[in-house]
Amino acid sequence: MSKRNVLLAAAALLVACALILAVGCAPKETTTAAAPAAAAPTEVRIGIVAPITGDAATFGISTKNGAQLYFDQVNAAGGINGMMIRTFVEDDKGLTDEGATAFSKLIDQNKVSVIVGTVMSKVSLAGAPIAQSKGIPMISPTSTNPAVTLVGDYIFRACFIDPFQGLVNAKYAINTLNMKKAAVLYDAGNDYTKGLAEVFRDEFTKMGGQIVAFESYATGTPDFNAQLVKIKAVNPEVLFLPNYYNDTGLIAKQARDMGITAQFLGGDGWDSDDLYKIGGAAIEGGVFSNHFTHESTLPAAQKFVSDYVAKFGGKPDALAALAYEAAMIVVDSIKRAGSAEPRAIRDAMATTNLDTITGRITFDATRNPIKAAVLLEVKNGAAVYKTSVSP
Amino acid sequence: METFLSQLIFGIQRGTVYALIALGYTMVYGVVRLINFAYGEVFMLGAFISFFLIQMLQLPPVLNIIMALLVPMALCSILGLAMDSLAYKPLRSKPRLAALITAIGVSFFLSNLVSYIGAESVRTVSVLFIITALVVVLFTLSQKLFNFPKVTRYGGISMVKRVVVVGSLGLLGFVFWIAKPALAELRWKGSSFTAFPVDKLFTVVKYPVFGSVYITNVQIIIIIVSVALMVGLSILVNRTMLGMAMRASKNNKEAVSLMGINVNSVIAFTFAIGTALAGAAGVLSAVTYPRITAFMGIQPGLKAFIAAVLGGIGSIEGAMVGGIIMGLAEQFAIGLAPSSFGPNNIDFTPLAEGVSFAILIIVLLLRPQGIFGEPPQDKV
Repeated sequence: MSKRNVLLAAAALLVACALILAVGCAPKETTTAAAPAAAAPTEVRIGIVAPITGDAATFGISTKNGAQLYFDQVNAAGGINGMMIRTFVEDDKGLTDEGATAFSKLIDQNKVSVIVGTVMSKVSLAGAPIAQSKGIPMISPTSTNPAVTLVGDYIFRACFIDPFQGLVNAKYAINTLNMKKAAVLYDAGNDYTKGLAEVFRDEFTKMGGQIVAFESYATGTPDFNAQLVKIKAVNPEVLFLPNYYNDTGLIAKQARDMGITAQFLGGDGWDSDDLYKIGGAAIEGGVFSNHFTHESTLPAAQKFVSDYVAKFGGKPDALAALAYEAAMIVVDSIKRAGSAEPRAIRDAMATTNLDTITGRITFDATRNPIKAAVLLEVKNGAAVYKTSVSP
Repeated sequence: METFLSQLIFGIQRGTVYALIALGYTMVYGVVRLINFAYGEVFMLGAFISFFLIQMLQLPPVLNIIMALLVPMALCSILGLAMDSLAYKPLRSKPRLAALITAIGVSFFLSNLVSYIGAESVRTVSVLFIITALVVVLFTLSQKLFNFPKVTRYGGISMVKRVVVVGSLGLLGFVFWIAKPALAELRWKGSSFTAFPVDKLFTVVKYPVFGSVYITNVQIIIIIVSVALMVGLSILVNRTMLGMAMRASKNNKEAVSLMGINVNSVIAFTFAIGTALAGAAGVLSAVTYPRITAFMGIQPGLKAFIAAVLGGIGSIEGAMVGGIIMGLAEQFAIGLAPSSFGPNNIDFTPLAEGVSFAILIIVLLLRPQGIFGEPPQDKV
């Protein structure tokens, strides 16, 4: 190559590198508050991590919307003691390594003081150690696996945990439905589904029921027929599906097509409009435990629902509600701490005693809130409130 | 007995999908000795094209079915031609490793591209395409006018090819731009999954086979269509001049070109057929498991490759047989794996899901040429 070409190629390479650095280092999404961007004392930086794309995309979008709604409302009312909220949103895509990267980026690059996130238990388990070691309080709106808050004293959550959820389902099956034979089909590669499945199995057997089949499948497979044939052979009355909505719809369809008539029961992973899109008529009559119903009669809940509908056009699901609650807890903690300092926020959060959209929230010794669950039934392509169960 | 029959039907259902994709792998390997790892993505694109067509053109039922199967096949074969001429042909004389890595690159590119296209980002993608087209045009102009950068002896692409690239990129960019309102209306979100509207194609009817074992009309149609495609391919390969040219190119490419046949055209045609089959497999799979997502093609593509190896890569009967065996093996492995074994309740199902990879290892160790392949000969 001639010297001129070599120089030109080197120049082009430098320009390309500079462009890549400039684009790659900008934060993915920032929402600046009404006040001009300022030095630390007049703003508090909050990170939001959620699976905005990927297998649980509706969860992530709801979470982002719910949290963002509350933070915007607070900013519109003047901020927290004059401090404006500046949020940084990261997408963890439902993957553990992306989640770890998202947490690191928010803490190291964006210098957030507290993180609201994330949705999936397995991703929260990846991010919590990072938050704990860097001393940044983290509150997961919806991770129900008990191990999450056990990572350390900086990790909180806004929802009930799976041991409670599994118990709720087992109680419903045995006491309300009077069914004593149950089969379970869960995702083997997911901490949430595995944990919930095992809790259901243990509680159901403790209450006198019989688990006739306990099957698993590989994450991502669309074909559950092999496991369902085995389940059909043992004739269960209840089929417990502690999985996310994308798998549950398919499983329900394939099960009904095969002639399985069992009652479907499940957990909060079902809560999505996409469940009915895929499950269709097969998922009708299925019952699942959840954190929130938009039919709640609490005035705070109804105000939240109407605010959410006004801003985003659709009714909020439990994930949006929990993210809103997590945001309420964060803002309340910052207010009582009187500063944007992570340590102070954490200490204030541990002593939370707040009225939220599902009632009063306090944290127990392992930073889990003491909350009731609701049972929802799928009727005509929507989730309808059936009953509440308190701890 | 009922369980066995059920598993058999489902195993064959799985196997036909693998067989269709494996046919593509095996044909391309036979002619160019290239393992085109991008077939999984073509499978995914077939399902997606079918999905968008069904949603956007609301046709009456029978026409819908024909359109949903044939148009994706046609578009996928065009994609196959594009892949061949853009990605693999320039590397035909280079070491095979380069083409293999390119194939993996094409696979990543396609699946990630589809995962990024959502109602918000589709216009960004279209701008990207249009800018790339413009860059090619600028380069060409500067070459013609200022003779910079210099076109070396082996580099540079022909004017015809440039026009094709620019034209198709520009057209795609334009299509993506105007597709935005349609995507927004479908609430398409990129890398999330979506439900394939089977009910727009058929109403599912169940036929009892034996006791409480059902077979649905969807399953019957899928098996019939797969068999028809495989039979059609057999006829094409064994009874037509083109098929003879393909079989001859497998044996000895130089001799074929000496006979006056354009080997590049034969190879391009092979790619087109292979990708058309993969696209058909995608549509059939979407009808069977009505959930499509940008990364749905990775696993089936991998397992179909193993099926092709099992049956003897390069042999068409091998691909069909290998696919069916693979589907049955997976089905029965999961069906027979004890899910709570022993006092610790050990779950063997995850192992059973990996039986396809165990098959690959066994095949490579014991009989690497596969079932129908020729044993490696020692040539003097």
